[in-house]
Amino acid sequence: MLGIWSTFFSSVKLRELTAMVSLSRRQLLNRTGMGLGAIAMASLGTPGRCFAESPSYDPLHPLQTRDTHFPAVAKQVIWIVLNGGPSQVDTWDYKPELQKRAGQELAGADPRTGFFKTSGKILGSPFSFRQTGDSGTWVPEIFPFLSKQVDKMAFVHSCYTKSNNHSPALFEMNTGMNRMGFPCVGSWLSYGLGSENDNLPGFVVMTDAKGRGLPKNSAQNWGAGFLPSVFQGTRIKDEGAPIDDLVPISGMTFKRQRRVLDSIQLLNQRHLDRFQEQADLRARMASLELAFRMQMTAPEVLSISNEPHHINRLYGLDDGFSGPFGRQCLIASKLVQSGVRFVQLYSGGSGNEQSWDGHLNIEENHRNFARETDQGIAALVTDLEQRGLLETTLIVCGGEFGRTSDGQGGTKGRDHNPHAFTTWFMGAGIRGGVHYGKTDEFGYKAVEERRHIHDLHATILHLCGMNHEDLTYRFNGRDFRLTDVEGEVIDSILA
Amino acid sequence: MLFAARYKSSTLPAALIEYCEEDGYGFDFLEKDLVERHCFGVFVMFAVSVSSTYAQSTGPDPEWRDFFEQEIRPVLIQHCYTCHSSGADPIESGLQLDFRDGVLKGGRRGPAVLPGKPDESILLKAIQYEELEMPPSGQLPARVIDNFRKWIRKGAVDPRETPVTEDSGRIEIDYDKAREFWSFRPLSDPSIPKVNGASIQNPIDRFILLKQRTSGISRSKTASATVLLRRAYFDLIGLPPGRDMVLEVQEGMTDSRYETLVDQLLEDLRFGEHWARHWLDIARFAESSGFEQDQPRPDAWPYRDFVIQAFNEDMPYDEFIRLQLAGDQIHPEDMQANVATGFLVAGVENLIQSRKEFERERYDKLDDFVSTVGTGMLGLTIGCSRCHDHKYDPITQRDYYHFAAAFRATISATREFKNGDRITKSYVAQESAEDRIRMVTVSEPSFEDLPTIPAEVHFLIRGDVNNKREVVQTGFPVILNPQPASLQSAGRLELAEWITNTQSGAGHLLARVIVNRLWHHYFGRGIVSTPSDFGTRGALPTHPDLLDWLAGELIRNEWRLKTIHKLIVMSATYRQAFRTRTENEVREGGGKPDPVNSLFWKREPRRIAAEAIRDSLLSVSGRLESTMYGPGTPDQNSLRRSVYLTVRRSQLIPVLQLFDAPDAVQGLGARQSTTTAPQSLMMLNNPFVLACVQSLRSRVESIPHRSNEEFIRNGFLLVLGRVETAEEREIALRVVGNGEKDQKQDFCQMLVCLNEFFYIE
Repeated sequence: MLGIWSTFFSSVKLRELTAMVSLSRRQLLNRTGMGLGAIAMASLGTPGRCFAESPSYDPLHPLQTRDTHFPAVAKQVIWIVLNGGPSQVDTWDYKPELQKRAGQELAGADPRTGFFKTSGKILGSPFSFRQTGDSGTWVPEIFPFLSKQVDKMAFVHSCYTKSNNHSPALFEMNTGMNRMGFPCVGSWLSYGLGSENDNLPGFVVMTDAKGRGLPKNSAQNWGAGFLPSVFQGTRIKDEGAPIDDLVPISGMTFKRQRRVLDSIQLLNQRHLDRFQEQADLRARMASLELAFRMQMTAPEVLSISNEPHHINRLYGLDDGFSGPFGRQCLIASKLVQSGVRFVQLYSGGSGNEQSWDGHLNIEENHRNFARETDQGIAALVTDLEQRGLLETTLIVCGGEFGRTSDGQGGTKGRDHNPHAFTTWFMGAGIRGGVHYGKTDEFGYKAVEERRHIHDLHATILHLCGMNHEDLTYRFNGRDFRLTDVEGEVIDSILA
Repeated sequence: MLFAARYKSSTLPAALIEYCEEDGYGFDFLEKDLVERHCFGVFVMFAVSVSSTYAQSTGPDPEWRDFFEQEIRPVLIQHCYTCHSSGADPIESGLQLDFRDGVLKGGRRGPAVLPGKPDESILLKAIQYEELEMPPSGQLPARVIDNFRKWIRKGAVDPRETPVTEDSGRIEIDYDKAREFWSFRPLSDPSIPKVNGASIQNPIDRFILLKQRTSGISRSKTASATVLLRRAYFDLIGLPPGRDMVLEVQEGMTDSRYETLVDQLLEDLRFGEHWARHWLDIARFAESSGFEQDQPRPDAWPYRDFVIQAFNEDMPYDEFIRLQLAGDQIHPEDMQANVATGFLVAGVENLIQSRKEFERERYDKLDDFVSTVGTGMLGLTIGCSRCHDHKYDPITQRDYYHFAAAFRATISATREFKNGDRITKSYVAQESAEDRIRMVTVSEPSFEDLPTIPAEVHFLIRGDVNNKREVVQTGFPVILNPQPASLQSAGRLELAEWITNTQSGAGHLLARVIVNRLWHHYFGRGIVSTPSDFGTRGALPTHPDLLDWLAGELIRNEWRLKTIHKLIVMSATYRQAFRTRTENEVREGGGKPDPVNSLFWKREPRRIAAEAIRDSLLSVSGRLESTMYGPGTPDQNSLRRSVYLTVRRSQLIPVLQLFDAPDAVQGLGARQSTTTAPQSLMMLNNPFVLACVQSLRSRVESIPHRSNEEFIRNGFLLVLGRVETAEEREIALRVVGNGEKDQKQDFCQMLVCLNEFFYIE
């Protein structure tokens, strides 16, 4: 099926194709009329079969590289989750009105916006902002390192989500649905594209670098939902073996293991002789070999002890405050260099104030978390750029929702706000320096070009060469998509 | 074009409707919507009649016509038609925006648009959120509002002559025609085919043989006694046969010996443990709430024990279903009946809710009930109709809400039951006493202050709680319920009766689905290969007559599942050996080849499930503890069978996860079977596996042996249930070397890493 389409795609200019893909189904219908649709169907010559086929997923080689729907710009994705919901108005969505009218009533404040009760009184940002870069992006003082990268970043200021509660919102951010049981972006990408590296998992997750716990929902955030569990994220642990069962127990040498393995394979071959045609038996034999090799290659990638001095300095590894997250950024870079498809980094742990969840004191909270992450993220950008990998690596950074423009009652903090938050993109296929979408003058609600998580997901898949409407998996009788029945690619941030 | 190609041309309008109905923003504006509805009376008298030809009199300007098509019509479809079009029910304020005259005439407030006069047009005021706030789901982007202004100023060109009813109405179902689909038909009473063959053991074989004959395919020979022994053990009780058993049947097994064996295994208490696990997949059973809190449910295990016991005692399947749906109402005083309702409440529940989301989460909960019951019991994806009529099956959105209404008062609770002098706590379903549903949360401990909603179910437009319509009563999908009886205060009890009723309910489908599930587990593929989807998108049965006959047998035998288990396992079809494709090339009639074995002409080796792998490791190493029932443990190093492992949704059991155990959020009828490197890493390095290997070595060593050869033989007998070949002995001898501890250990690890350990012929 894909064969037909690759022929089709090669005959259409990529630009036109991009335009086509970005149209919603409704727009397409309205512009082309149904008649044309019927013609297109006929021209496929396979009535009854439609393009919405699942990728040619083979349970025996689940991570085999698969064809994209159209040429991919991004080969890999790093998603940095500022867990807990960073405040848009104290980071990338500068609102001078907020400073000017601090303490006044916030017009249109809705007490149901936040999780707790908000004051209804405008809370000015405690940070000073200045314009930097050719793009004239307003940057708060808490991002000195990232301020030098703003011309590479594309900001979507008009993100919104349906939930104002961490758990459902994290599910929504990861899976598009604010309920449990759906596969996350990384799982969809692994399912759609397979892995570029045989010796490492295709989808790796790192959680809070300072041991403040897993994000809310813990491992459910990187679960494969109803997709085969092989597509779930693998969390690299900070202590012990980074990946389960990666290291042989003491007393076991590779040589001895190899000897046993050789005998296993000899016997497996005899077994296979009886059951010719059984591809699964062959696959299991191959998986043993792969496992054996992983024991040697994976630890090498996950270790940073042999990195040169200038790299350590770039990531600020010596700084006890920002070093731990810097280390994870460095590992992310190494994973990407090794062909890992999707890396997700969580800044912040589980509790309020243990993450970007600044209910009590937004200044203190964001100052700390910004300092923990600013240098590492900027270093990652520089590092990838120097290696020529930023062209093929997409970096996404944001939280599960934003925060209120009015203060939380009785505190210096801000409550959850699902109506507005900023997510920035950088790298593969992204037009730098773009500010897309708008919130109102207080940054309280997205008012122009409102974009739901589905749109962010559609854009990520698009850059990875996948049409979000065609990446489907049938479960309990229904073809599911990452973007459910919605999602539009955000063209304006594409290069 | 991409989109259009996704659908057959005949289904395009339906697809369009669906898209339009589902798109939208977050809906947080319930109050505003209500205000609007309550106030319309004030505006009723302002209706003014205007020339409906105004737009035309300005001349059909092609440029503005295009503008309408590109910028206006899509917005109307997406944001307005649901409530303001000919197909809306009711048409809000009498306003129809799906054709020109409808727009010009307007609704109760008067004309929606005064062409040329944007500032006086109610439509523009409404989308600017002046006076009215439309659409209620959130204000349209400024650019869109500007487009409307321009459009109206330029004369509101609108080519739509007539209402496009099919664009906004719901799909009409021709039920008579829909009921011709195989799964919605009543069970047929197929006569057993009169075919003859030496191999025939029971009617199953005649159905199978008939199809093989007409396709010119011949069946495989009967498997050897040791192969059959191992197969029956794994399929019936999920564990390998012991060494003595293997030695006993080594020389062969008579038919009657095999039957005795099957009877013994069916009576073995481990049968229930094994088959319960299959059902627990369907029940999405786990022992925590999921979401952020993932609060443990320490009292959920009695439900698991109920399933084990029900299968062991061969509780009639219709009773098994009835109790799970409404045991608390059928036998209010009976502990087991109440415990059975653990099925309903086994799903996920968010315990940290915000007030804003409480009601939506309530409908999510209802959806969990509907979906799990639908796919698990009826093989119907009723859950797909939450937001719109089912895209493929004859199930309407209305069907969905009627079905959901059966659960309108259902809540979870931990109840205490007195069993003799013992008190058992159990996590069960019950009806809300106050006829209201209270917000469940652990984040606001002040219980009094928590919001409640009436225990009722509304029809929700697009499945959106901020878009409520009338309260709906319990009812069952029309496709399965041709003559709906009027239900008085209907709820789960009526559902339980209806779903099992073979005269006027869904009993036939219920029977088909369960016998197919059994077949699926025995053969690796059901007669319907999509065991949880018997709808039009599911697979068709390869042997419809056989399926109906088996379903009929189940009902005729008082719904005793063991009857069907035995029929299947005793059949010659089940007892076949593997054979290669080449061996089947000589065909009796020269029919089509059947590479995927859809005619069941051979047995294919199948990988055992995650639990069986772990249990086998414990079993062959002699570490398995046989303690049944009671609270489980989350420790994967536990020595009990895997069915007793406590699965918390945020901490799935790694050893089981690796081999495709489900995430227990939605019901699952057929697990995947993947092959991955981490599985092999586990077999090489995992401490649990290595502990088993070590015990296995001690165990093999403890069996008296005079030589390394005998040591090897005992290892093969224990782990693989057979005697090794000479060639295998040679290879094994090299590993065992001079018989040092490490070498013997390596030999044992080798045995459990073999494909033959994971695959049962």
